[in-house]
Amino acid sequence: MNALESLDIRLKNRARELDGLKAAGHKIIGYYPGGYVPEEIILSCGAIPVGLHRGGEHEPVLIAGAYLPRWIDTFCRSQIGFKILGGEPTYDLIDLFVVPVTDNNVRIMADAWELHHLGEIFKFGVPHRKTERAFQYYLNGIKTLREKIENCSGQRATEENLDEAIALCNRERELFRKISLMRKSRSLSLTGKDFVRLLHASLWVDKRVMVETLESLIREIESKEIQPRSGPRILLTGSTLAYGDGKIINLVEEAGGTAVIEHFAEGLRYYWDDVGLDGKPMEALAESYFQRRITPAWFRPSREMRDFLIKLAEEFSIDGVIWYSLMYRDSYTVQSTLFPKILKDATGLPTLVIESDYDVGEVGPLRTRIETFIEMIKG
Amino acid sequence: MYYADLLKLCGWEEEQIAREKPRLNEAFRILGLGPDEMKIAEDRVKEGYDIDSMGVRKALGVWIGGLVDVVLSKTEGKKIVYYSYPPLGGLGGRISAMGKGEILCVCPEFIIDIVLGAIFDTIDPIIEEGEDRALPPGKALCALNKIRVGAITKGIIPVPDLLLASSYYCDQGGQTDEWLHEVYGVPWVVLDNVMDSVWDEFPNLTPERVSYLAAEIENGWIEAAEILGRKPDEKHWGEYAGLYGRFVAGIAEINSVMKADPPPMSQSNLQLVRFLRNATSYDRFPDAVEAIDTLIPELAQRVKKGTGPLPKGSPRVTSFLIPQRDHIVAHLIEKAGIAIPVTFLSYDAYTGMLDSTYSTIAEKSAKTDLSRGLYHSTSALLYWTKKAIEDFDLDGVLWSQPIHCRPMASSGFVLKKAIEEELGIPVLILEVDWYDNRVFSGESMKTKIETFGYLLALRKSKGGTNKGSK
Repeated sequence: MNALESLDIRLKNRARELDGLKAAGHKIIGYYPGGYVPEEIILSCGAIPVGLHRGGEHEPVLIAGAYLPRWIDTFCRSQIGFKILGGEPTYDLIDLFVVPVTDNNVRIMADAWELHHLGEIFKFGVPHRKTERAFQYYLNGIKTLREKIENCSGQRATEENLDEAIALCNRERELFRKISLMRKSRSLSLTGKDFVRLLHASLWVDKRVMVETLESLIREIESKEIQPRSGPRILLTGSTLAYGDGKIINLVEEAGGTAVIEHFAEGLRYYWDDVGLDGKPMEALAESYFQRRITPAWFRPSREMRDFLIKLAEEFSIDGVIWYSLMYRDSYTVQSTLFPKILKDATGLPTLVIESDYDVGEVGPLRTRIETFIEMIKG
Repeated sequence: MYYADLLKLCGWEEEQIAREKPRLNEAFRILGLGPDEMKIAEDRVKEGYDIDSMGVRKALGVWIGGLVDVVLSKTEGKKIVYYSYPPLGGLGGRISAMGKGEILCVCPEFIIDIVLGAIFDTIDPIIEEGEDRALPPGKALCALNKIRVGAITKGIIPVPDLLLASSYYCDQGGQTDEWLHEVYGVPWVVLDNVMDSVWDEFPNLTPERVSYLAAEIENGWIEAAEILGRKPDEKHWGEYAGLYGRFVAGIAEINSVMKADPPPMSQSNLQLVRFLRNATSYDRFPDAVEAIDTLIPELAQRVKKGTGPLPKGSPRVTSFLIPQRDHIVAHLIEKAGIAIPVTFLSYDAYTGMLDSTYSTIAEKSAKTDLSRGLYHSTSALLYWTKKAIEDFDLDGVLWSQPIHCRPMASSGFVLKKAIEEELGIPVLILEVDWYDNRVFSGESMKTKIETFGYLLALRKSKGGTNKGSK
């Protein structure tokens, strides 16, 4: 059994495992993904972090219409929808939902969660600029989060516990980075779809299991040589690539392209940088999770994100960029009108901008657009 | 002078028209407003606004003068600063006060929306230009931002020397400023804050939010002054606060008069007056104060006589604001027999008191901004709306729910649930765009409003009130 097959089995059993842990007194802490909740704080309190990252289905979006207006980001609406529908273990099991308030979409989703009493929630703010006072604001926010988790779990997050959790998460990040950098090669057996599967799994399974899986996978990759892939190399970027929202990556790979790097709210932002272990842990977490974090589109300015994408495009020998936004995520929508020209001027590369509301009717037109884009690059 | 009749209708004196003739000729040429457009505007003003009131006419005149100022600002050698709507921290006003006569600091899209939208009805091509350039249609994006981009790219208003942007409350505004910053190389100053308060925190404020916003205001002020080659001086804050205080006191007085039954004037007129604070330059601000000073005794006189656009005893509602692009929406509501004595944005004049627990002007400004509720949270918006229901003895809420405004996106949902459950009074949500009337159906709106009016009247006739009627 290879590493990915083994991971699939662990994923299938994870809900039962979490049930058992919960019964044994462990707190399950759900969090909104996006790279601003330090899982280390949750782990250091003996609680279990799980990212709420389901998406890609239309029914939860429709259901959410009774709680939220339709002009809110599709992924945010989905979170309310999945919670209301039930049946998703992650959403049903959590004792607390941690939400880093980033932009209005996330704020409004959190408001709906609170107003409709969908479960206990803890919010803390993420400023939109990288200044000293913004850093202090974020640091204060995660310190309050620590107190909240400590109260919830009944276990203190000592510096020793925090350092241990940071070391574990750093190991996971290091392995993700290593695999990610391997994707610069055309002779890699791992597909973009496989890598995204790993990223999604990391929000759900036990950290130690994830580290073991990644270590095994690296050994497998290093022992296997394949013929170089010849199709166009695609950088996928946008607001959110949720678990269950596989259509874009599938369509790219079915059209003969290969997704070789992804920059979304979850994933790269988390693993690209380690947390320092030589200072005070809370400050080190704030340094990594806020000050050095690759910025999203809602940061001001968002040039850092655009420059980073250009750097990725060059380093990963990209042939084209697919900018995948979800409906009504304003920051990404406006940036999508600016980025293609900036990328073209800097690298000559084309960008395809697409948007989704998790509607099944979208797949046909998206297939046509993606196939045309891939063909255009090939030509 | 083909524009003289319109300007007189809008409160301009003949002498003023003659004095400003060269400016008016040039500005109207750039704006493409000829005799035909003036005639249409006259008809729209007569049909849409209360021209029996000199206060309202003067307010209309201030808006037109404000647009002329923006259009000509570059050729008149002024430094130009644009801030996006909504204005945060009063920074625009302070910069305006700092550069009296030399710096024009305005929210241009708001001025354009009222003058070229509500008065002249020539705004759609500007919005479409903004859609072509930066903010595509069909994605529920704000028409104000489209107007800012469209008016600049069409050359109707000049490229500014500085942009005052916000990176919180409105994501689109900041994004649009960044677009202009990148495309035109305009320097920008960004104000940040974080809307992370817990649901029931308001009216208390977390000190961290106040101090973070205060530091951003203080820093923005210093940065902006440096870019404009000025020395920041607290006396400018004081000057602005003095004039602003007079304006806010006037709005509070209007609110007080509007509690009468029947309310003495249609809300479509009062919005025109109230928004003067948010858009015009400091140099035009004394005219805005004069419009208010003229209006207040007129309203008091009507209250004394017991007159208003609707009969005494008509159902009374509040809204966030009534779409301003077209006065027709306010009139649709009144034709359905519903009076709107107050809107959220006029009610917030009550809340603008400075607090002595904060020592610096920036802290006081931050505290005031957050206390007004809008920039605090949706729960704060609910808090003030409930207060307004009590204060104005309202029978319902007719919430104009914007489809383009992400910060306000959930307000209708929240208010409907909370107000109907807690106060037992009906809430109707009307999906609109406040600044762009291309995106909603007047007919569908009319049906909803008429039905709501019928329901409110029936309820009222059976003795249903906001107090304990549930």
